[in-house]
Amino acid sequence: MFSSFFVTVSLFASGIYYVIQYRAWLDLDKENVLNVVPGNCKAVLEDGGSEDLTHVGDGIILMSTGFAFDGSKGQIKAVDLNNGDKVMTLNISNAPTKAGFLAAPHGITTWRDTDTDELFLYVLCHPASGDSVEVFKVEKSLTLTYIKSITDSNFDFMNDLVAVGKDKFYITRFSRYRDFYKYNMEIFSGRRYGGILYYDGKRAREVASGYYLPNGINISPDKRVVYVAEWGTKTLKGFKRDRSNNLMEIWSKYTGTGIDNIEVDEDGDLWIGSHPITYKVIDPTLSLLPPGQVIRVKMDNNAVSDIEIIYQDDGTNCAGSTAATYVAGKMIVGTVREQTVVCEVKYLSK
Amino acid sequence: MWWINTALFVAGMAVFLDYRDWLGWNKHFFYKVAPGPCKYVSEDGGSEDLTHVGNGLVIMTSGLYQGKGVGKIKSLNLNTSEVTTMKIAGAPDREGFMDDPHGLSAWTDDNGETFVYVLTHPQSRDTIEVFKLRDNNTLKYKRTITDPMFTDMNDLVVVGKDKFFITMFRYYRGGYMQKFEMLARRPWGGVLYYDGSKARQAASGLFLPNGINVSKDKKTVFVSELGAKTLIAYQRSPGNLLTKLWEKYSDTLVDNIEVDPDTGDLFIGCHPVLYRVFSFIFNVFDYPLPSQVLRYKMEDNFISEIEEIYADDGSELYGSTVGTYAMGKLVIGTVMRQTLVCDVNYLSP
Repeated sequence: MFSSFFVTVSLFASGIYYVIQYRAWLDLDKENVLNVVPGNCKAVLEDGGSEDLTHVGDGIILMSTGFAFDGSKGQIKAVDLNNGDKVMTLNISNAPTKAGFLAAPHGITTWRDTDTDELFLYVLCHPASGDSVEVFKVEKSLTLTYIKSITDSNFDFMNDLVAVGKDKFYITRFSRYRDFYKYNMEIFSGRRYGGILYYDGKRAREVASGYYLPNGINISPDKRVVYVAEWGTKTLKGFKRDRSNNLMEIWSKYTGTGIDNIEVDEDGDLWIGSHPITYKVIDPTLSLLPPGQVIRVKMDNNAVSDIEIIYQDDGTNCAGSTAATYVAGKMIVGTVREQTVVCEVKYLSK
Repeated sequence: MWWINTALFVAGMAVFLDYRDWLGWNKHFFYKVAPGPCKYVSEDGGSEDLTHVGNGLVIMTSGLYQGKGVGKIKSLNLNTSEVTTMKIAGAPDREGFMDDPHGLSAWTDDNGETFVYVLTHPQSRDTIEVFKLRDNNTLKYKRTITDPMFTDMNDLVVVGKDKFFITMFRYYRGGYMQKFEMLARRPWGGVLYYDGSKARQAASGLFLPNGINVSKDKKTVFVSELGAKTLIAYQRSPGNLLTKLWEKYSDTLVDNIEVDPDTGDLFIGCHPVLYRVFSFIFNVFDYPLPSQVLRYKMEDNFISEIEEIYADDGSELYGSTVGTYAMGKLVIGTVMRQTLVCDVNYLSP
């Protein structure tokens, strides 16, 4: 009789604990966020989204747009921050005719060949046949020449990637399941099926596993530390990279917000687009207006020293921010499927 | 009868979760926000309330909760960033004079003379000391105001000569009843109106009402109901009666309110996490008190937007209570420690 009482109390306690943790994860206790505005802001694109973006030099930002769960074809666009924030869609020459080319473009990364000064763009896409990384050469005229598609049997539902050499990259596996319903079940199960793969030019192998919904990935300027935003636990992690390209986790920093993609600025600080209220962004079918947020993570010796909020919006001007970067006094923010916003940054602490 | 047990359990969980959220037990991380470069103008003593009286002169109370006989009024010159303790000419030789100075309010009469009213907490009873501003460093003591209705007061806003609205933070001035009043979230506080000779009730049923101020056009009175994390706006009748207009919940403990004389925007010093404030009040653990200043943009005395202008985890600024915006700078005061001045490089229109 005593043992059944004990069992009941334990079940209740763990049930209550689980409810509290789940509620906290979903941010059900948060109604909305306060606005933080670093300077004059305007939307350079009103919808269609810009899930990932990166600065390629001279104020030119490349971004993947049109990410959607139905796998429809997206586009690569560019914003010229030095030229009135002009937006252009990049034409693609030599594009393949196969179905699913540029379907739901997601994370992107670039690689500059220092010998030839050629710039390559890698775009993770989700065609029905299996996740694929499309490889392009970025011409000086800002058009893209399709080179090839990289696939691997180890690619499940991937999210973002960072190039460390020509056709060599680290890529995050967000979840094991790609089918929309199984993917949602996996998220709600809390199982840590996420991880990081390394593609060596020929094949991909797992270099880190046991993570819960790892999302954005990038690398320190000295290429020694790989940064990963583990969205599922709202934690930023640093991995040491060895000569065989294996990864070992060296630090973990709780950020309290749903960190998405990571960009590294000229000073080595991280700019992360994030989701402060999880329940508002996780299911597109619920059509809630998710807030936008950009955090700047100041780094010292490739480890976190301070976290600042540079931009925050209740969703009316910037909804569902996923990525951001900072170039010479301006910040650009991309979202899953809504606006792309450019703000002046009138103050940045040292 | 299982459904009765389930209903009770669900209700119990709801109450528990609500109390836990109220305490801020769900907040585990504190980020920073800064509008520009910041520097200390004072590192100790605190500046629980402050206000800009014009020409870059900011007057602040200092020494709250730091013992008897240490309360003072300081002045900050925004042009030079210098802080000096103000001399009080003609100060009465009374024990408890200027003990625990708390909220203050500045008022200018039709002749252009500025008066500073300071709430203090001497042992006997909460008292308002009235001073005339003589120059940047000197106050001339005029008189003392008290009333039997004054229990545990917090802040005041002067609307005429010796006429002011004052917040009653707690009904009980100490002891177990005061602790109970806070922990059981009893709405026993309110707002009193002092008409020049005596005080009367203006608003009641508030839980820890703290900061109070009046709109640019003097027609709306704003009150920070700190315990309920809510800003309340009252319409002020010509007879100085208050009728509630609206209230706005914002997930932080709103403290003192300053009103921008040009735009009418409200700047409010806040405490983001309640359990840390309780820890501070009851002297339990030694947590750093995070700081935050919010700007409530106003349009026709209604809130149009709320912005976070400053935030810190407590390492730079410990326990902010008030913020004011003057001459392009944000001056932030704390309960007992530093006073910070930040340049504001950008304020949205």
